[in-house]
Amino acid sequence: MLRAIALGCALSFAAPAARAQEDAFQLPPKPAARVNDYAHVLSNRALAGLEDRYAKFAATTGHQAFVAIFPDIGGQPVENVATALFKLWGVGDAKKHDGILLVLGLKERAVRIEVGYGLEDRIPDARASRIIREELFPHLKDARYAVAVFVFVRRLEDIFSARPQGALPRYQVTSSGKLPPWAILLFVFAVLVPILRNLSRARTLGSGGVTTRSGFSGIWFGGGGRGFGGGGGGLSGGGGASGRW
Amino acid sequence: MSRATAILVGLVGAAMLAVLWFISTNNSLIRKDEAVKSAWAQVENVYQRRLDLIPNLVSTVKGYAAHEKSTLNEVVEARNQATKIDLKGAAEDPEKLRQLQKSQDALSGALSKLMVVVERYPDLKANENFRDLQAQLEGTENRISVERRRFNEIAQDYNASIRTFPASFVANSRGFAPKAYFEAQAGAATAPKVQF
Repeated sequence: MLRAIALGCALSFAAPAARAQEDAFQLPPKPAARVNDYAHVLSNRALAGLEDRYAKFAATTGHQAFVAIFPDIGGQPVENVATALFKLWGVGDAKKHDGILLVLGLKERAVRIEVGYGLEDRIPDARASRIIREELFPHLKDARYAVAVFVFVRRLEDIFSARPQGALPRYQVTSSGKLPPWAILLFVFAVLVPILRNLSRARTLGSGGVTTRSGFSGIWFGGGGRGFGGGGGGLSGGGGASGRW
Repeated sequence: MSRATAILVGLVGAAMLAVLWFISTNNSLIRKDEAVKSAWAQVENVYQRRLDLIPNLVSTVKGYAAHEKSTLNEVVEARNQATKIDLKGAAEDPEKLRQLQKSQDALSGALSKLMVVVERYPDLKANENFRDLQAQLEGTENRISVERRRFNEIAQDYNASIRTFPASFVANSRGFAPKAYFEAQAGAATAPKVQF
């Protein structure tokens, strides 16, 4: 209570000062998607296709790769933005720190590949820098952002030899085709149980609007693979490379 | 139960609670101390990483820009100075930390001067080996600023814990010493804001 009052006071005093800085760049909260286009430069189709490819990369290698495209990054160094965003989103596994994050600031024409602690030996700075210079720059210079994001994941697939061609691991095929019975059972449990629970709670409370959210999170945790709905708590230490196109 | 035994039971209970509180506070301070130590180990790591990188860089640049002897010597000299500093215990000793920071910042200065000079050598800049080294150096500089900032944050958290009452009582009796901070680098203080 006291805390709330103190916070209220602090907020009412700090508000004008805070508003003055409001137009500065802010890090977006943990997203549900892997490919995040805050600049709205990707078509819906491209976005869906890329998301699928990044999800497949995570499914085959176990490493999370995230993308954030910003219209601008408030003129800040892209390195600071990427490291802070990596930590905020928790890209990669919380123990292995095996995430990768691609950040684009369109106005600054700045790109950064931020590599989690656990992958610094697989993607050393020099390698990340080569990917940027040799494979991303040509597309970024021509504003082919979707291609750049696609080329990046293909490169990652090469590095971890996880190109989804020919023989796919079995659990991947099932996701596009028929579901095995155990998955259906799991899905039914994951979907129905939270919903039923919410329904019964909603009935006693008289309003179901708020509770549906937790029902959905129940679906993701039950049905989704590892790391669905944002990162897993991974951390980076400023490894990777950046450049300006 | 007589009144005397009730009081006795109350006192023993209070004493046991106090001991439990002391132990748990002590443990939490130990955990925070360990966090500072591992953050410091990371700082040492990234500084060492830069020291290891320099000989290779210098010899590559020498091959293309032998004229820049003085700039190269400056880097080598600054590296030698930085190597001499003993990093052990610098996390607890502000004076030692200042020395360390001074020598490392001098090295940063010499290196960035070298990187400006090499701009004049297109052959060198086109050399793949040099570009890799340049990327490694940039990455290492970036790691240094990240780990320094993280160390400061974690040391701040630890210092706040050992100074606030009542944990300060445990910290004093168990000899938890405050940690030193890095001074903020120009430009390093602007951490991006989080949107809620």
